[in-house]
Amino acid sequence: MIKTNNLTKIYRTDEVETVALNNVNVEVTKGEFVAVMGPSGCGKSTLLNVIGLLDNPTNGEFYFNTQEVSKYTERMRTNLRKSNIGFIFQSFNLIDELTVYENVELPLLYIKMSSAERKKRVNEILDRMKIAHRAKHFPQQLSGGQQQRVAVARAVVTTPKLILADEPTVNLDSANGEELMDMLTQLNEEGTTIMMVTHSPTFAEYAHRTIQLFDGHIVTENIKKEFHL
Amino acid sequence: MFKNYLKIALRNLKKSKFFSFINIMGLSVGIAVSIMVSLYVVGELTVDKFNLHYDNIYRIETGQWFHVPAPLIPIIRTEMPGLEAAALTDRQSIKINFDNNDHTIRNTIFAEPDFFDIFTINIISGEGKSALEEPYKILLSEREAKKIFGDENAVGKQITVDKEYAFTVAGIFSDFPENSHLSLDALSSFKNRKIMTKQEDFYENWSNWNYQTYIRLSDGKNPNEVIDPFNIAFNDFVASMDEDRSEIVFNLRHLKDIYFFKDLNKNDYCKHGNMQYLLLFSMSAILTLIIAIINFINLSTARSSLRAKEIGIRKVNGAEKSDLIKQFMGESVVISAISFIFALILTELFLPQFNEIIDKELVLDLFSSPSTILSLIAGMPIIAVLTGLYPAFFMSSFNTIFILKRENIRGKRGLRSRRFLMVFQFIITISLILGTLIIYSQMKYMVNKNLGYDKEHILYFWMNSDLKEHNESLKQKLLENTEIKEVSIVHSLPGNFIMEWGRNLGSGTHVTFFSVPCDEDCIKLLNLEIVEGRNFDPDLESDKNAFILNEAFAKKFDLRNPLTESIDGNKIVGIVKDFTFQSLHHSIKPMAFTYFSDWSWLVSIKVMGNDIENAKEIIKNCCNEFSDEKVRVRFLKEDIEAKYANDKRFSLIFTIFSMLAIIISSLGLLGLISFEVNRRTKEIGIRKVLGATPLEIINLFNKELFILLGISSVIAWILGYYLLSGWLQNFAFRIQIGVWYFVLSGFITAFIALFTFSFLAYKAANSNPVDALKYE
Repeated sequence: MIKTNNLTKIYRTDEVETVALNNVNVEVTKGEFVAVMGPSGCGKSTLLNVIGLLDNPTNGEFYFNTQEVSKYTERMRTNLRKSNIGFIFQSFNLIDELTVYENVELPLLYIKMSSAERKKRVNEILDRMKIAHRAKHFPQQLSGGQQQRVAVARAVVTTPKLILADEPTVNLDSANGEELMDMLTQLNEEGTTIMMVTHSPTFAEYAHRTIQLFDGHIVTENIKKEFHL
Repeated sequence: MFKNYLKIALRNLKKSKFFSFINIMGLSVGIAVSIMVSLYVVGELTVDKFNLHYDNIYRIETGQWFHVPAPLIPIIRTEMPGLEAAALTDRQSIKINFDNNDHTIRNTIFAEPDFFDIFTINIISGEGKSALEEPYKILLSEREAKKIFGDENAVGKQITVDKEYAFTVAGIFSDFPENSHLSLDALSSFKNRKIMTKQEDFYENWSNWNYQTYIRLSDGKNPNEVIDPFNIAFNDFVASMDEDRSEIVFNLRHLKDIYFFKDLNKNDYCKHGNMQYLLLFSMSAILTLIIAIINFINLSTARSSLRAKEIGIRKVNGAEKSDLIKQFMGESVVISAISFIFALILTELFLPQFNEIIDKELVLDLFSSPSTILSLIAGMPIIAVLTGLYPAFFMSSFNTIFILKRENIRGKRGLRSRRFLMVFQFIITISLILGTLIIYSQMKYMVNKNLGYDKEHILYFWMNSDLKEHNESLKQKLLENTEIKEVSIVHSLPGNFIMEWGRNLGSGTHVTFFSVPCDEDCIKLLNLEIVEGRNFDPDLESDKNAFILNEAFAKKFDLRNPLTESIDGNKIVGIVKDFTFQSLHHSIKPMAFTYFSDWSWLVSIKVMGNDIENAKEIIKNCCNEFSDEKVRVRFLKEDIEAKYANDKRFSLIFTIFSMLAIIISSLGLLGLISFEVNRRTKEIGIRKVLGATPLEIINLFNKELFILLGISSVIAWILGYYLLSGWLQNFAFRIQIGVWYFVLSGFITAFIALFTFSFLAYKAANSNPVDALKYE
């Protein structure tokens, strides 16, 4: 599903050049659950942003579903992203001015889904995430765990093929963290490919495979579980 | 999707109440002012346009006069190629009597029948054009007929005009539109003028240049092709009659130029607009709106960091740039729609006051005026686009990754454009303050200017024929009262219409000057200072028809020893110090008092004390002894002040508009500054931790502000000087634009800005630095 060849991302300011990713070669197969680990500033989030089509690499090739997308314009990336990728962030990133229902509905609006279909999908996913009773509440009225469940609901409501999670458990207590990991595992078992950045070795255990990044390089890859297509 | 945008827009409005208030209030006031000014401007620009033949109507004039003599009309009719219609007119105020009740019809136009082929008049009942063919008929406006006859049918009724002539009401016409240069309450045949002036040679008299004459040309006819051959024919005709007469050149003034052309030296009986006021009002309305729009742009971009997270999330969730632009534009549509609603309410509330100031009857007619509705419908999206476009593009181009990584994007971007807008706002504010100061000072100067004569205690009235017959006895009767100090019978007083004469000096030089025929008490009554010679002496037979000149007369015609000169053989007995006998818009022209009272119908009275109302009663009682008709006693000071009513009106409106603009601008400044302080909270915290005092922190902010203010002041001053010195050219007597006006305008703006800035910076500087830093 994902394949990168010598993926490089360099950030330049007037005087400093920072190499965030240095010739990274990653391959993620459809249905896989991959954890990305490494110290702060090693390039984990950058990798996730490039794979999530939020940013273009400086050099190298990037295949998404066999399409070479590294030179895509923002509009092309947006179009590809909106029906294929869901994001989960450590800070939940919910819009404070929208209710739970409206936050979850948001990606469906941008893929121009009909109103009836939207309603059905949002209600289904809220039920599944056990947050339906909070549909009319605003994010600030929810606990951290509840907010993250809303964020997951929003990430999966379009049934994306790939979910990218950037340290999704950081702001959660251990019970809520585990609950979230169970949710991700379940989604993965249903066929969704998942790539998750984490600092926690415990949560990395949920993945089939862990990639260790250091200074923009991949240093090791550990296979934790057997994964078969 | 639209519902989602609307929801977010309304929730955002609610969430940031202060900024929403500034935006909506500013826009509402700006739009309301614009609506009112537009109503005024549209009204002024459409004056006379209701006439079906608008494009082809002209008034025939000469360089000196707007009026022509009656015998000119046959020449007009024969010598103007392409002429469709021509009509001599004369406007008079007439007194009528019906059923023993007196009425005055102020605007009665005596016109030739072609008047109907020139102007568009809607006859409701009775005769139309045919009524102007014969004398002793009158057509009344619906309003006037109702005033005189109530609900009775007026057509066919007999009325007595000016006590001696029996007229028949021949027809009724719809009230003549207000937005016309003519005021018209009644129409009657021009033939009546010959009857009423009792001049046998009325149609042969070339010395009465009293009649405004309108013509209508055929479609597409170039007026130059008409007037040139006419002038040649006319001057040939004159030459054949009188070889000495100098050439007269006539010109045609198009209807569209009559309303906006006013030469205060010449009289016509038309209503006039003032193009300059129109432009200045429009400008101040547009400026108010621009300030409100800039506030909106400034505040939206400045506050964009608060929306950054939302923008990022939307982008991650599939929003394209165009989706976000649509969303933000949607929000400005919502705000401008709300502002329009408030603006309409404000307009409804304040239109009566505005009307009172400008002396008009504007109405905001939403339901019956498609053009008003259309312009409002067109105006709303324009305002929305102007306010929303820049912030929408600015915000939608935020980088998603930076936003979501919470990197500091707090309004650093767009800082330069925001500074530019702030400078622009300062420029407008300073210019408006400068304008208000100078216009106010000029008005104050005019009101307080010593006119050179006593206007404080003078009352006057025009005599009717009964009083004129007994004018000497009346004068004595008046002087018997202790309240009355002096009485003089004159032709006219300063501020009235003063005749212009052409005469020959003893040396043979032909001179034109303003002339006031009067008796020997006039100079004393007006408290004029005789600088040379003496007053008229009733005991000297040789003083009859003598002159007393003003200094300007002697100066203009270079009279070294004026007392040895003569005018048309009559001696000059004195020179008075110059005084303002016209308005302060004019420089003092040559004028002369003539000791000759046959033409004097005006009794001027100087009273003791300040009880003007009591004095008026005494005067009326004296008059009653000689005439049954009531006289209308006027107060000279009020008349003189009325001369400046337009200027005062203009100054008041300009002051109100400027105040509004300044308030809106200050609010915008407050918003910007509060954001700027907010943006630098962290910096303030760090500086405080490192030992900065609150004063040092305030100064840090004020330094940048001073630089921006300095740049703005210089630009505003140059702009203001240029515009205002142009405006002051309208006044012959005007203030000097001193340096202090500039300093003060800059100082007031600096005070508003520094006060706001310092207040907010002080608050920030005194807060606990830990609070500022822990947000990071």
